[in-house]
Amino acid sequence: MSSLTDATLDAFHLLLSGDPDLWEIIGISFRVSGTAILVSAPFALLTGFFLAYFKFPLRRVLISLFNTLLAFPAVVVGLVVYLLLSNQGPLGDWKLLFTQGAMVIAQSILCIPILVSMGHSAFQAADQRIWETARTLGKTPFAAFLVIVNEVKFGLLAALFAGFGRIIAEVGASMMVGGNILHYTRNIPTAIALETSKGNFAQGIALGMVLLFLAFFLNTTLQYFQGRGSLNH
Amino acid sequence: MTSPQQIAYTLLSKSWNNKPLIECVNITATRGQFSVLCGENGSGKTTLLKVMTGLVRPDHCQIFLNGKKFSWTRARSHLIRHTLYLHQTPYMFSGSVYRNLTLSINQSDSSAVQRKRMEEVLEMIELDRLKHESAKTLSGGQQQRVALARASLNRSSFLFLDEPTANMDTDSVKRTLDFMQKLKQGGTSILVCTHSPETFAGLLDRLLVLEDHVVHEQ
Repeated sequence: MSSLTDATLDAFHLLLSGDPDLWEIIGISFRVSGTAILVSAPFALLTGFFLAYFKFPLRRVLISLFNTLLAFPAVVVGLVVYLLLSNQGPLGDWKLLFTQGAMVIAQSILCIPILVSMGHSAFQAADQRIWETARTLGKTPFAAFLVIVNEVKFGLLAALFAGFGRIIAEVGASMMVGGNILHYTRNIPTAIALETSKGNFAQGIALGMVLLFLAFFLNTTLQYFQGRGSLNH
Repeated sequence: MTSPQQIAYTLLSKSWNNKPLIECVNITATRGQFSVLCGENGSGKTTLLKVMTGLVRPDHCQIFLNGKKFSWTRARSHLIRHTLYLHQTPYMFSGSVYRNLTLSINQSDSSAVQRKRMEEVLEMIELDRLKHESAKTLSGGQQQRVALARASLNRSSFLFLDEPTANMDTDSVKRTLDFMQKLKQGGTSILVCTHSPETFAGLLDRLLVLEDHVVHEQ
């Protein structure tokens, strides 16, 4: 018990003293996961919109496929991306394996099903009259899409936060395609796994607290905006 | 194309779940004319209005804009630009009444012109004191008046209104009829779908009835 207390106190000290190695790892995590969300969100949310608003063959199959991919294990995504990017793989010429780019690719693949699925639910729950009203007011299809995005923004924000929370905390894919290289591809979850295996619990706990604080911050932010939305309509 | 003087819809047909809903309709909308469309519940009035405004694709329809023939596909962009459909229960966008009106404004107008037009319309329909209120919190009748104000700001020359006075009290109905009179005098074509044609007796030019899938003029 005392070792846990000591490790936690050390963790606070590391965080508050601005330990450069620790904050570099946090910076890499946010940069990689933030880029993955930015890269995947436009495609994923548009896909969710098309699945909700347009009827075409295989639509239901696609919805089921994206829902199934929600359960895709991160380590399997890591394996697939590893095989694609390895020297013998079809994308080996890109020389991306063990880079932050590879981590962005793997994390994008992981968060796309979440964004599509939650985006689809948000768009589907939107009133059909929004599209019709926007169109009849002379908006182009794209402008009408933006009007709907504004009307369902809290649902989409929840999707973005859920996607970000999922990928910033995943370890399997980042470890496989990033290689956990210090100062380059070592992010929060891979660092926690490494430091724990070395018996360096303080840094592991400090990084774990960052993830917990992040989850709390995202949830509080979402609650705040949703509360404001319900008050102001 | 500048706003047409007349839109004619011929050989219009639309089925729903493989059952015919509207067939062989020959219907015209002319600038400055006020028409009322009656019909039983489920007779297809709303669908007809949505087809006429380009929101729903018909099975077949030929459209004549100022006498020039268009397929529905080619006419659709003109219909979206020059016609406007108002739901029986209009959708209010999140935000204030003022924001709802700005979504309808022609972007090519300067902001000063836009503001002036919005103030005029809000005053005409007696909603100026509510302009900063959340549109979603207004009563059903007030929302219908906001939607009508939004429609008039859009500068569409052909308005297709689905039960526009359904949720209104007597005073609101009177204000709305006065507003419609001004729109009509300004050259706007208005087609109202209603179960109470007598409400619009003072404005009425044509009474249409949708019966057995076909529109008849009375």
